[in-house]
Amino acid sequence: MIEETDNELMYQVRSGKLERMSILFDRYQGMLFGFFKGMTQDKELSADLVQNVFYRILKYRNQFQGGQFKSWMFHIARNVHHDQYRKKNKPVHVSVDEYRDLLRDETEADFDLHSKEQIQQLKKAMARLPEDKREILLLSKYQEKNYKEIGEILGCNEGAVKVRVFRALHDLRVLYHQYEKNEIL
Amino acid sequence: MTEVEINRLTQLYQTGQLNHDEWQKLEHAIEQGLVDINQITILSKLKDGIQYMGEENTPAATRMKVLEMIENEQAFMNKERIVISKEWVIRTVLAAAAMITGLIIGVVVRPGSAPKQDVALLRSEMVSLKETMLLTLLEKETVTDRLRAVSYSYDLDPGSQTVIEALFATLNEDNNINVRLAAVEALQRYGTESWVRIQLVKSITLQESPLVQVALAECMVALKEKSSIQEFQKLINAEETPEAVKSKLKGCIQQII
Repeated sequence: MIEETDNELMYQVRSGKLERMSILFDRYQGMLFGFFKGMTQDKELSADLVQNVFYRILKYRNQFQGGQFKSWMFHIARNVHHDQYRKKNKPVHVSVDEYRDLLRDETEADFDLHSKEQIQQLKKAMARLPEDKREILLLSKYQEKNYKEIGEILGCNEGAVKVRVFRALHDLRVLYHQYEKNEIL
Repeated sequence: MTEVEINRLTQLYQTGQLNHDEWQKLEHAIEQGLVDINQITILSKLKDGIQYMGEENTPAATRMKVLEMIENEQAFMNKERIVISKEWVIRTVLAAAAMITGLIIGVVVRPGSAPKQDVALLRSEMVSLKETMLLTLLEKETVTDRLRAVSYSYDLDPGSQTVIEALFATLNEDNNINVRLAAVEALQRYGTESWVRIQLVKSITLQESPLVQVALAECMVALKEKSSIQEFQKLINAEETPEAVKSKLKGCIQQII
């Protein structure tokens, strides 16, 4: 059986078959959860934000005018996160200990111990990046490096996205090495 | 830029020896697509590392809540359809009854001014009742009630000043974004009134949500309200305004001017 595309499903939702949204939820909840968790380092809040994204998709289903569904969804996700950030009026930041607890729950299949440690250091370094840099790296991950689509989400051109990804990766590199040398505990 | 130069810059970057000018050249080359970030091995590895970061599903409760939300919306839609069809039947019956009554009055009884006054009185009482309901629902705690209140305003055309002022209070003070968005949409209908347009413009800088800011921007475009440009400019200049909103506002200004 041929799997329906995101856009086909979204058009069905628009036409009143709301139950089709559950397929979109199953398809993207993990990705959105990963995005919000990367942004907030708060699992409970991230689950609420995922729910909020689907609430808005449902509410504004008639506003979907084609284009990539995933980009539209991440556009909403950014707004949801931004609204949350404004509400709290400060970025969510957790201590390294709390972050360590968060890491413990996660699964990284197919990694040996050495690599797993490196990935954990990378996660800690990511958590210390400024929000805009963390965001572009997470978008780059979930948009499968499609810089044009990321540019549409962020409101800038493809070249500017590439430079922003480069700068974010550079900062991540610096932080990662600080962890590696135990300069940050 | 030659391939040799590109290789030299990426090598210097990896060994941390880029000076300021070379850094700028490298960024320019990346922007132009002459250098792929994946060519810079150390950054490419970090990117791969990010890809490997574990993913997990939302808690089962989230799925349940979303499914419940979808069901509620579906039920609400179905209910609306029933209400609309019921309303249609009632309206048709009432219209037919009114027509027959009018005919009887016209033929049998001499037309006087008293029945007209009664109808006018009844109509004004209906409007007043709906207004009261709208104002009461706007004070309710649940978002659904407040959304319903805003939708009632569509039955009150033309809306009274009290209703419009209540909608403005909702737009500027309600803590729910969806209610505020509904208020923008409802208020746009009164955009022919100059005082309404002035209040809408004033509301622009009071809003913190990008969604509401964008909704107001679109409303201003629809109303072609030039006085809003100054307020948009303030938002564009504000550091905390997200880039996507700034870009949207710039686009709206272009459409207004």
